Amino acid sequence: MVSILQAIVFGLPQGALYGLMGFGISLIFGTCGVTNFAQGNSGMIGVFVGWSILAVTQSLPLALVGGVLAGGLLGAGIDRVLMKRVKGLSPGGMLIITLGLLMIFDGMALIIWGTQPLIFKDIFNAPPIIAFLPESVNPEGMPIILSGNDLWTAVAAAAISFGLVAFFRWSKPGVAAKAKAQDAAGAKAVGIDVAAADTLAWGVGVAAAVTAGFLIAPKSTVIPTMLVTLQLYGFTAAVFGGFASPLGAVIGGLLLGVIEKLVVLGLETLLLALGASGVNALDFQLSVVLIIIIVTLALKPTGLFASKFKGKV
Amino acid sequence: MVLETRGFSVSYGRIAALKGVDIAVGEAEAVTVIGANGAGKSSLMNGLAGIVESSGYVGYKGRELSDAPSHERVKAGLVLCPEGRRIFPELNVEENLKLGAYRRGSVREGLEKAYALFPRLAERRRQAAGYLSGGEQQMLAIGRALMAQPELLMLDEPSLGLAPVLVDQVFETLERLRAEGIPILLVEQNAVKALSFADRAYILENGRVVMEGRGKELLADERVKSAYLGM
Repeated sequence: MVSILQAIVFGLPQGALYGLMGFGISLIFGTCGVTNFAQGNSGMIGVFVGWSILAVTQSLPLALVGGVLAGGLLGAGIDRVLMKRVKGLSPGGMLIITLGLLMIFDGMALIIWGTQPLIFKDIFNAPPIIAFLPESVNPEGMPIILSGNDLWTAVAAAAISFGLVAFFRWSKPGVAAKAKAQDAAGAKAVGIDVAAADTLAWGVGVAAAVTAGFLIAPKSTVIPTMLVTLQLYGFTAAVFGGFASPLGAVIGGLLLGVIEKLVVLGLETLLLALGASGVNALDFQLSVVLIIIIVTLALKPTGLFASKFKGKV
Repeated sequence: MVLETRGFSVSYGRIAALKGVDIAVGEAEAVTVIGANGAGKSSLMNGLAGIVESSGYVGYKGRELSDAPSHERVKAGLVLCPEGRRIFPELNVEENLKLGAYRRGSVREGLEKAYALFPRLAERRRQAAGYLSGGEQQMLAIGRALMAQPELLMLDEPSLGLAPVLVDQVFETLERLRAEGIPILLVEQNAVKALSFADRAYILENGRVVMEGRGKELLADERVKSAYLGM
């Protein structure tokens, strides 16, 4: 019982990061119809820029703001310079283009910042939280443990995710992007600048990936591949949530974080019962994610929050 | 003239849908463009609204809008109610209407007017637009276009797919707007209705204007009768 609660407590902070990563993927796909496989690496470039600003100025706030801005500009630039020119390409063609971007950014980071893992300052510095449940529910007296930094990271990730979801739901430019996603010709007819809506989605989407990168940087170190795994989780979160729904991706991410830890816990118990002590259940964590993508696509390809009216929203 | 085009053309890749069309809409005038499927009617409307790219001259209220993007045209008061309604299905009725005033017009006044014109929309204001019936969606599309307080209202096939009683209702609405002095450019399949409604009309064939005249005159013309009115 306590171990299940502990799995949930470990899973939610992870899930908040998955959701933040999934948000950007969903936002760009929902608004522009492009599946951005370079999402993680675009975010990574922003984190490197932030690292450089930190190295020069020693100011953490400046580094964070600068990195996020750089990500926003990078996203907007991808839209203006590249995507506007290849408009109307087949999904297969788009896939190759974003995969190409992924490799270009990877190479760029290696050339500019080298191969050594760079250390990024801890954004949060909080003591771990240890909670004892009352004896009645917890006869073994096992505490629930949560790292203070993980807690604040999760709070930041969730606040940014839900804040952005709210922005795209209620603000004027946000509603314009949403309208464009639902009907591009209708959006033009009411006078929405659809090109600006695309650029906004790309800019905010990549900036969100940079914030996710900053939040994991203390653990992952700053390296070109730092967001590759998180991107995979982000995609799973987005698939879970219906792929075109940013809110779905955020909630999908939280669910994914919890499910992942619960499945690992189940596997651990199973392996223990089977006496297979040489196998570590944590090794299966990523496989679990891939299985979740496949099962979701097989059973409910529209995800949990899909549009009621058509495939792409 | 409120609107005037010269050599107005629309092409999709190498296919020319509209080949150098000259049309005009005057103050408080209702003009209709009729023609068969594929004659270029929707290309004309989408080109004028800036939704598809076009070439040639577009003059509007003494200024040139030939290369203006769609949002600038809306801002100038040149507003299209597009074919197929093109409403936002996941947003509710009121959110759809509010988006009509995205570039110009007042939300409060616009909503009052739209709900007065279409009481059915007021009843369903909190409902997702995708759940409305075809007729209600058409009302919503017209209402949304009116939210921008158009100085020239363009309507592309507003009666398409509607039951006869609803078609009558759409034309009654257009009559009311005409009475308010809003210039109207209407594209219609329902040629009888359109010609009896309009002050002037153009007939489009294979991307060119082949005939123009007063609505009632064209309605009585033998060639028009046999080709478009099925008489």
